[in-house]
Amino acid sequence: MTIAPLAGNALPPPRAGVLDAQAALAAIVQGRLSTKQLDRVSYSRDMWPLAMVWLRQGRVPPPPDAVIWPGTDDEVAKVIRLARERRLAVIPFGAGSGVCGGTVALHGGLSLDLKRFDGIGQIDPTRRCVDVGAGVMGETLERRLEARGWTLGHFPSSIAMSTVGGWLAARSAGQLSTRYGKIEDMVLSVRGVLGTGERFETPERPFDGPDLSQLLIGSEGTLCAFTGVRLRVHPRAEARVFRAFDVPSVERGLELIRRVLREGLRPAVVRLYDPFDTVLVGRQKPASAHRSPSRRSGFEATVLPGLLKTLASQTLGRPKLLNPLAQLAKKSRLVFMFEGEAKHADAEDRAAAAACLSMGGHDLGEGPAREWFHKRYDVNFRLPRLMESGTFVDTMEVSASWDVVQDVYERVRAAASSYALVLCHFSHAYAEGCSLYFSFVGSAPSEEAIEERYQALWRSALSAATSAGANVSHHHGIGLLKARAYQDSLGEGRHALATLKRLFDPDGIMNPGKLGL
Amino acid sequence: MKTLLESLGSIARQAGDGLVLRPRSERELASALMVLRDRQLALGEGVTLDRGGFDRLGRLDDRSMTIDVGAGVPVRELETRINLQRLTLGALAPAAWDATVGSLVEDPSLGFRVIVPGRLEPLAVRVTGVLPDGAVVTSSPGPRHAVGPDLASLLIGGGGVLGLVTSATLRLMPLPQDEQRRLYSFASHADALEALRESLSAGASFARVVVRGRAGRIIVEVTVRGSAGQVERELALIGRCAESTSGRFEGQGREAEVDGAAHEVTWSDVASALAQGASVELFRVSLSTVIARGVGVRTFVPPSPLMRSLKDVFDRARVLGRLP
Ligand SMILES: Cc1cc2nc3c(=O)[nH]c(=O)nc-3n(C[C@H](O)[C@H](O)[C@H](O)COP(=O)(O)OP(=O)(O)OC[C@H]3O[C@@H](n4cnc5c(N)ncnc54)[C@H](O)[C@@H]3O)c2cc1C
Repeated sequence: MTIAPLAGNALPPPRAGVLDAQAALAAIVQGRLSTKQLDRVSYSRDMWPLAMVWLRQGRVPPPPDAVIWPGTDDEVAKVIRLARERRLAVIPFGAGSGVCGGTVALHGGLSLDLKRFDGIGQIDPTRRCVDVGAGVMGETLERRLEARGWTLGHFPSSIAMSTVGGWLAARSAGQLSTRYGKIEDMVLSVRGVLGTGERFETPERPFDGPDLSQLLIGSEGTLCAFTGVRLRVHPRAEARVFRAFDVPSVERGLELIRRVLREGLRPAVVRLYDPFDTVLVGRQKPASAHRSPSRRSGFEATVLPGLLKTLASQTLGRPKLLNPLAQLAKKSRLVFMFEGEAKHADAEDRAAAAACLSMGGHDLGEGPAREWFHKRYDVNFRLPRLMESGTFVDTMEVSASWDVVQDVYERVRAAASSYALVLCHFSHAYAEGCSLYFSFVGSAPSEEAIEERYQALWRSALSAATSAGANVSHHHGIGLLKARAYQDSLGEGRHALATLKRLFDPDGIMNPGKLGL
Repeated sequence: MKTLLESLGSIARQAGDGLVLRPRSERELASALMVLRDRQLALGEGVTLDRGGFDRLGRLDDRSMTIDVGAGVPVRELETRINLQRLTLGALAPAAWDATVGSLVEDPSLGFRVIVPGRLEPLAVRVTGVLPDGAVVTSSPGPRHAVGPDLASLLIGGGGVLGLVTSATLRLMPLPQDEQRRLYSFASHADALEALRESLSAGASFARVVVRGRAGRIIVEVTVRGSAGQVERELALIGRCAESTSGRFEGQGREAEVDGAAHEVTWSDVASALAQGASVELFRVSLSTVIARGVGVRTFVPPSPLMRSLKDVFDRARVLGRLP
């Protein structure tokens, strides 16, 4: 799909269909609707790196015609029914931290911000669950649960800038997923409004048929808007035990993780960095050292970005020269964290350590693992700075079974290294495989050439991954970015997806264009 | 016009008053469903599906601990084969062993296993099946994904009402090296159940649990399996969780059993049964539900409106039968 970002400062006025419906829509939500330029621009994108490149180039992704803030399920249902009558697109919006263009308003319409669904219910300590509004921000939820002695166990790096509804919509994974699972593993039932305008609430176990929640979770706003969810919670961990190892190679590191899981151990965190990523992971600045643009000196704000830009296109613009440097680094860093009941976490740590030592791991103690934990959200601060220096930065996360993980790693590296600097770490481990998280940093001789290189990189990397046996995404979802690869991967399942779309969104108003729908 | 038997060709044979279909490939199954649909016939209504033709015992991937297997393979036979490779399907509920792979994967309660901490996950990591319109669907590879709605859910746990499983990649685990039983007594059944849930949350897993009342105390017998190290760690953990909720260690236990059929129930169903003096035997013990003997059958819950509309679009002709 080609998307035409808008150039220049002025947006076209909202479409006539939205202006006609504006008064009726505003009446449903007690006036909480905006057609202001600033709001439309703000909601025109998420954190999709390509959209950020466009913004750097002074271009705006297709914006919604209006932003609307419903506060009850009934309001959402009424908005969707009216949008259906008038054939207006509805784009559910969480916090806009998605990285695949999931909230870009390809056909204009209404950006449906669900952040007013911010209720957190009482924890049911017997059933170990809590009802949460779809608009609750991740960090708020975890803080509130922790204050009451509980945890959800879901810690995406974007926890401070993503909502529960966004997690459900894109099948998010947190850093502690090896123990607590991905968000879809934590759901007892979901609530919301379908594209038909009907309200729904999925049943809880025991089921008489399929788990209906799973047919809606992951739909990225194309079938429904989530308004609430019942989630499993766990008592807050009594203790956390950290340990890191250096291992002689990626292959050995992967084998170690596999053995540890096979032994029945369940670390909350297990991360293996490839040699290139290992070199960088030890050199991060703490978050406090990152200054916002408004607090930078004149040199930092004006001269430095230009210098960095030139440097970036000279170095990152030539990845074929840079990537071979990875051969110089040999060791891979392996990080474990066990948490839970103190004695059990200790016992698990000792068992994992014994396995690692017996396979040639070099015990680095708890220091590097604690340091990782301390800096685990810093990626949020590094990204904008890198983008300012004229590069593109993106990540590709896929998962595969253990028998093909190494092959996926090698083939993606080979495929991507003509286009960008390639780093990889392995996290989110399961008994039968794990996720591979590639980071790409690239540049090009000119801003114009950047998009072309970016698109070529993705085509090449994703096709290498899937042809080696990986899936299209482990936790970032599809959005616009991977829509073609996703549809290709479905085979005849494409009809089943289209049937779901026809049933839940017969007029195709829900987030059109995403997931290739 | 051809007779039904002629239209179905070698897939079908007459058995008494009815027909038995025995397709050997997804395409054969898909075309049989088309024929039934055209003639307004349905499986279960004079036509029986025999998935014995999907009898492939495919690749066992020891590294990923998975096996590709056809829907018609009996679970018990599969278990015997994989045990030779020192792997197992794990601690399943009793009825699972009498199922075929297809009916196990489609079963809304039996086709799931428990992983730490007390979570349920499908036994099938990947599944292939045929939908009533003849489409052959294979779910995404990889242990977990973020690739849209989970189309595998049309098949996994679907009871065969939205689609039919033809093959699956099943999750396995190492054959346990050790099995140990422990008896604890508690002041109340509420304490006993809380200790079990606390143990699950903390990272223990149970192959089986029996709970019964005796002389004013509630007796809980837990069975734990796994590698030697795992059993030792988990028993120690369970012991500490028991102690923190009035539990007293009472010895090694001796394989108590409860009679009757087992079915999936909630913890509050178990609590109600215990409150009425019943003894219960629990399998596939997760934080959300358990499969229990000794707990009354739940009252019938009609399918949700969402389920009815799914049935309407995926199987309008009711080729796979009607919803209850
Ligand atoms: C620096 C950074 C780090 C990240 N780290 C992680 C990570 O560790 N793990 C991870 O999983 N992801 C990560 N992400 C990606 C992102 O945070 C997730 O995809 C998150 O789930 C998006 O949530 P959101 O509320 O911001 O959703 P949005 O970006 O607003 O929306 C994402 C998609 O979901 C739909 N949607 C949003 N809310 C709803 C709703 N209530 N109902 C229906 N559809 C809805 C939207 O239409 C869109 O298609 C990261 C992103 C960044 C920028």
